[in-house]
Amino acid sequence: MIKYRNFPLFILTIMLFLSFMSGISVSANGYSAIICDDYNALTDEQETELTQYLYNKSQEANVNIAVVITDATNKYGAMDYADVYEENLFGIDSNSILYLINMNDDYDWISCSGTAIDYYPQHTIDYILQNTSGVYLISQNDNMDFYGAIQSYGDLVVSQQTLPMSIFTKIGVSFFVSLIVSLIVCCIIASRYKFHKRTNANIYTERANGGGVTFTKRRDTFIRTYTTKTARSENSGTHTHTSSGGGTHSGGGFQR
Amino acid sequence: MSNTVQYKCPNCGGDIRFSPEKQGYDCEWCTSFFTQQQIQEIYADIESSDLSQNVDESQSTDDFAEHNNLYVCNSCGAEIVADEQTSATFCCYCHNPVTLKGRLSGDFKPNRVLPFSIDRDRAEQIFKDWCGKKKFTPSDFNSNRTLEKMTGLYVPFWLADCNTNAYLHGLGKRVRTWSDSRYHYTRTDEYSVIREAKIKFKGIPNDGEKKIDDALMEAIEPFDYSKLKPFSMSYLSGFYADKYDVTKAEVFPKIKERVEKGALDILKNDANAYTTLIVSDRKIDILKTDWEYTLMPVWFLNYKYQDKFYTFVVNGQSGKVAGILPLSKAKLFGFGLGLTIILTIVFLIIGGMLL
Repeated sequence: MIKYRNFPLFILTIMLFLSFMSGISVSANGYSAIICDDYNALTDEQETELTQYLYNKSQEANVNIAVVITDATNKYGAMDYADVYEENLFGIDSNSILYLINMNDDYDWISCSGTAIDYYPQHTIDYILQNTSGVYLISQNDNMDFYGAIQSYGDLVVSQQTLPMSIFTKIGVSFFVSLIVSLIVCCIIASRYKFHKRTNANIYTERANGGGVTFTKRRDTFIRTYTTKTARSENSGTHTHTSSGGGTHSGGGFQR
Repeated sequence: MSNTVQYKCPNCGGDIRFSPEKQGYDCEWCTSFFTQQQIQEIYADIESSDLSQNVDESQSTDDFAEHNNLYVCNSCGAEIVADEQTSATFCCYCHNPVTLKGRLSGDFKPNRVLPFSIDRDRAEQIFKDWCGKKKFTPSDFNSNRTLEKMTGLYVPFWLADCNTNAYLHGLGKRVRTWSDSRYHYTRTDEYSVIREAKIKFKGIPNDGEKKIDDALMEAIEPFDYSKLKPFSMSYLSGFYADKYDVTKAEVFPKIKERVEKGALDILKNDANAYTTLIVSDRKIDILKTDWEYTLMPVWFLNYKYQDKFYTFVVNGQSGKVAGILPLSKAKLFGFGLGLTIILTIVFLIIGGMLL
C-alpha cells in the first residue's frame, strides 16, 4: 500500500511514466489534457479516445484538464491528493481542473487552480460531480461507466464554465452602476430645491405653551402568536485553500 | 382729520420706526430712543381714538376704488393708494412709514401682535447664508440687488385653540427574528391596540390672507407666543401690515386637518413599542375652538429669475427660512458627470482591475 505521506515524489515519478503511456496532448497555447488510470478502469483504446476528447475540450475551455482514477487515497486525503497531483501534472497555480475518481471509499473530488478557481465556483463543481459521479459511477464496480463519466466531465467543463468579464465589460458595468447612483443622488438634490416642509401640529400640544395630552385609555390585548421559518440558502461562492504543495486550490467532493 | 397715522419724534418731529433689535422706537433724525410704554403714553390719544373713521370722502366711485383707498401722507401731503388689505405702508414719495386709520378696527383689530425681533440686515444675512448652503443655485441669484426688495410685513394670522377627543384602534405586531445553522426564524406577536386621549392644541396658526401661500407660512413655524404683545399701531411703524381677508370659518377646515393629523400622530407615537401598527378605526372630535386674531412678523422676498417668480420668507422672530430656490441645471449636470467618473474609477478599483 502506498503511504499517503510519501506521495509527492512518488506521484511525480508515476506521472512522468504515465504521461508517456497515456499520451499527453499539448496545444500550441499550452493547455493540455491527461488521464491517469491507476485503477485500469479504461482500456487503452478508451484512454486514447478520451484523452483526445479532453484535449479538444481543454482548447475550448482554456484550462488544463485531468482525470485520475485511483484507489491510493481515501475520503480524508482526497482533497490534498488531488491538489498535489494537479500541481505535479501542470505546475503550482496553473490554470487546471482535475477530476479524481476515488475507488478506495468512493469519495470523488474535483480540484481547481489558477483561473479555473474563478471559472468553476462551488455550485458548478457540485453540479459537475452530481452529473458525472452521481450518474455514471453510482452502480457496483462492474457496471460503472467510467467512459461516460469522463466524457460527461469534459462536456461539463466547457458548458458550465463561468467566464470572467472582459475589461470593456467591467468598464461598462462600472460606468452603468455609477450612472445610476449619480442619477439617484442628483434626484435627491433636485428634490431638496422643491419646497414642501410641513410643521407637525404636535408642537402645539406642549404644556409649556398651554397645550396638553391626557390619555384616558390605553389597552393592549394579546391576540395570537406564530412563528415561521425559512431554510438558509447555501453559500454559492468559492472558497479556496492551500495545498500541502503550497498552491491555491478550490474544489468539492461527492460521496457515491 | 387725516386718515393716516404717523408716529413722530416728540423731540425733533422726525418719523420714528420700530427697531426689532432694540424692541423700541428709533428716531432716524435725532437718534432718540423710546420704549413701547413711552410711545403709548405719548400717543395715548391715537391709541384710544376711534379707528373706524369713515374714509368715504377719499373714495371715487369707479371700479378701482372698490378695492383701493386714497390716503394722505402727513409728512409730505402726497396721496397714498392702498388696497383693501393694507394696514401699514410707506409713502412712495417721502418713504416715511404710514399707518392707515380704520383698517385695523372693529372686527379687524388684532388681539395681539408679535413684534419683529429680526431687523432687515439680519434677515438679509440669514437669506444669504441659506442661499450659500445651496450649492446648486445659479451664481447670480442672491445678488445684493435682489436683497433690496426684502420687505417686512405683519401677516394677519388666526390662532386656534382646539380641545379634542382622539381615539384609535389598530392591530399592533411585534416581530422578532433569529437564526440557527439551518433556518431563519420569524416570530410575530399580534395585539389589539386601543388609545384614547384628550388633547389640547394651543395656538395652531393659519394665515388669514388669500394672496399668501399657507404652506410657506406653515414652513416658518413656530412663533414664540410668549412674546406676543397687546396690539398697538405703533408696532407697525416701519413695516408693512395687512388685515385678514380669510375668515375663521374659511380657515377652520385647514386647522381641522392639522389637528386630526397631529392627534393621530400623538396616539400612534404612544404605541411605538410595536414593530408595525395598522390602524383600523380612528375618531378625532374637536369639541371646542377658541380664536385669536394676531399679526405675525415675516420678511418677504419676491424675485423674478428667468421668467419664473420665487418667494422666500423669513420668520421675523426666529429667523427660520422657507422658499424655493432656482436650481442651476448646468451645475447639477456637472456634479453628476463628475460623480459618475469618480464612482466608475472607484468601482473599477474595487473590482481589482486597476490593482
